[in-house]
Amino acid sequence: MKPLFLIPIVLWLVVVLLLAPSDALRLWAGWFPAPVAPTPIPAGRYKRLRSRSLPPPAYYIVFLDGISKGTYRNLAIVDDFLTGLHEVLPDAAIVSDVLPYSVFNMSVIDERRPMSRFWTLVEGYKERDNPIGFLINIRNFLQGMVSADWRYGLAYNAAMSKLILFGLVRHGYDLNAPAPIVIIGYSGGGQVAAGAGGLLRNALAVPVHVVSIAGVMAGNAAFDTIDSWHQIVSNRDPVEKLGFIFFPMRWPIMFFSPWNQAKRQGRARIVRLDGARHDKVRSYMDPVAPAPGGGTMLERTIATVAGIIRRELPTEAPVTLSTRPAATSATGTTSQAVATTDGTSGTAPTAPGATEPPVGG
Amino acid sequence: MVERTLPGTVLDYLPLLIDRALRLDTDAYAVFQTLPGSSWVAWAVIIGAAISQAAGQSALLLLNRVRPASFMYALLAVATSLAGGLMVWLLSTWVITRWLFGVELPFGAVARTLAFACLPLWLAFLAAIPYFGLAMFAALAFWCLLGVATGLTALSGLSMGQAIAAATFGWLAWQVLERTIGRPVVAIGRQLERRAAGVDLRTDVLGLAALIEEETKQVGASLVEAVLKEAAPGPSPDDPGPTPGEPGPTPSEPV
Repeated sequence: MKPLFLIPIVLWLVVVLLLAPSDALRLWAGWFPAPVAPTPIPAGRYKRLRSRSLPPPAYYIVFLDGISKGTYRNLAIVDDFLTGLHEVLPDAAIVSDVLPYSVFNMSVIDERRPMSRFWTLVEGYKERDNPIGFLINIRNFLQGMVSADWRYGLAYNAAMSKLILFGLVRHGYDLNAPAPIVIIGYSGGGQVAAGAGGLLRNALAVPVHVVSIAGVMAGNAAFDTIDSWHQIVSNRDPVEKLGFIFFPMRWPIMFFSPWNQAKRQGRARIVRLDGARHDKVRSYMDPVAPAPGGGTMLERTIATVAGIIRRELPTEAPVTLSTRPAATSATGTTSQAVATTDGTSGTAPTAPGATEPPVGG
Repeated sequence: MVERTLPGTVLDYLPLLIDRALRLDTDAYAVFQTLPGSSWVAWAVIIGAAISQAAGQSALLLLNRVRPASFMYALLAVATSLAGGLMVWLLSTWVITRWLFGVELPFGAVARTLAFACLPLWLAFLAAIPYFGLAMFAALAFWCLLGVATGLTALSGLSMGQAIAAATFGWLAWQVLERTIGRPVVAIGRQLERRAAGVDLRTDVLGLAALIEEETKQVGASLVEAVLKEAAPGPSPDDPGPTPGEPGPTPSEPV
């Protein structure tokens, strides 16, 4: 029997693949009647972590979530991560209201989308952990491919860099005195961080650092400009390795690729958080699962990311640790020297078990 | 095995011929060019291949900022240019076959056969697929090259290696021609594309790379200005504004 039922699925997939870059390219070409400012965040759906009454932050952290993100709402573990990170890095403002897979910063369930009803349905399935909910991941994965494509990437990444800049301004970023930026890209957010980060670096002329938590990225031209890239990987995370398999620019044989050059120059580094899975239980942000060496996975990840950021952006601001989450003290993390590939060292609180070998995928 | 002399027209055998040609069956090519109506099919294949290739490049028209009103004209201009390119390739392959291997073949038969071999390029629109599209197009182009070589083998008795060499040298000759004595023709083609698209179209690899490099610099130079221009004044409705004490709640979006 011929698998005829596959024909409509393949046709649907081809159409979806072909249409994936259309939003970014039409926006780029100016096919929309007026300049498109990002969609405002609906009331009550996002609140800033840092009060505006506090002194201006020393730097800004932009969080770009993985491909399961379709709406402004974060997963609980992401909220925990961001809250914990903010408490460890009170001198930073955290921007997490940028949707990395929409050039309009528009939630997939936004009523202005032609297929919003469909995506609302899918989102409902996703909340019930039904496999149909994975369609959102597929949709967002395709947007990541657009970002990674050397032909379309500029159109997509230009839109995303604009959205990020809008997000930064929303959170008090002063364009006349721009502060350094750290982009944390989780999974597919790593690709968007690479694409948009390079453009932001050029536009603002401030240091742009990227911490990629299991980022799946192409390793293309953006790596020429980004100041530092820390790729957090794990031996239990096969998804992160897919980026290494699918994107030839990451292969060691591509000696002159921007990724490999950045690695040789010490700007791109691998940080191992072994034992963590890509998502869900025992993931990098699991607040319950114990991490090798003590503490939870979440605490280890927060401490590692904070350590990287402190090393790249040392500030005079005092660090006040609150009682929750006990990301540093209670987990036994310590302030220690972090070995780097270029032979330098920096003081940073790192979690036990976090290692930074000189080379890697 | 398909017989070399068949009654009827090419349309009577078209599905079978297409199936066999895509499988690189020498007999399919040998029979195809003998059948009445094969010239029309050959033209259809070339035109279809060019339109499909142009559709694969349609996204690049947007990257070139072609206006909506000019889009279809630009697509037509690109398709015409691609069809012309394919025909020049077939012509130069025929010439190379004569000069390099001393095989005298009637041009009509070669043109029909080799045009039919471009059938895989009907899927060239898949080149528009993000990231993997170019690899797909490369595979289709290679498939087409093998088809042309199979067609040459069927007509001339050349070995497969010689036929691939003829098709490859034919392609190289086309590239050299474009950059030497063919420049005036190319310039006219470009001019027509420009008039149709309303912009200086750059869809070839080198032109596109240059375009992307220029535009990347431009984005860097204009991003801040664009945000300043478009940013809505005042706080957004969700913004709690200055609040004393601890930071607000974490991001949330009620369902």
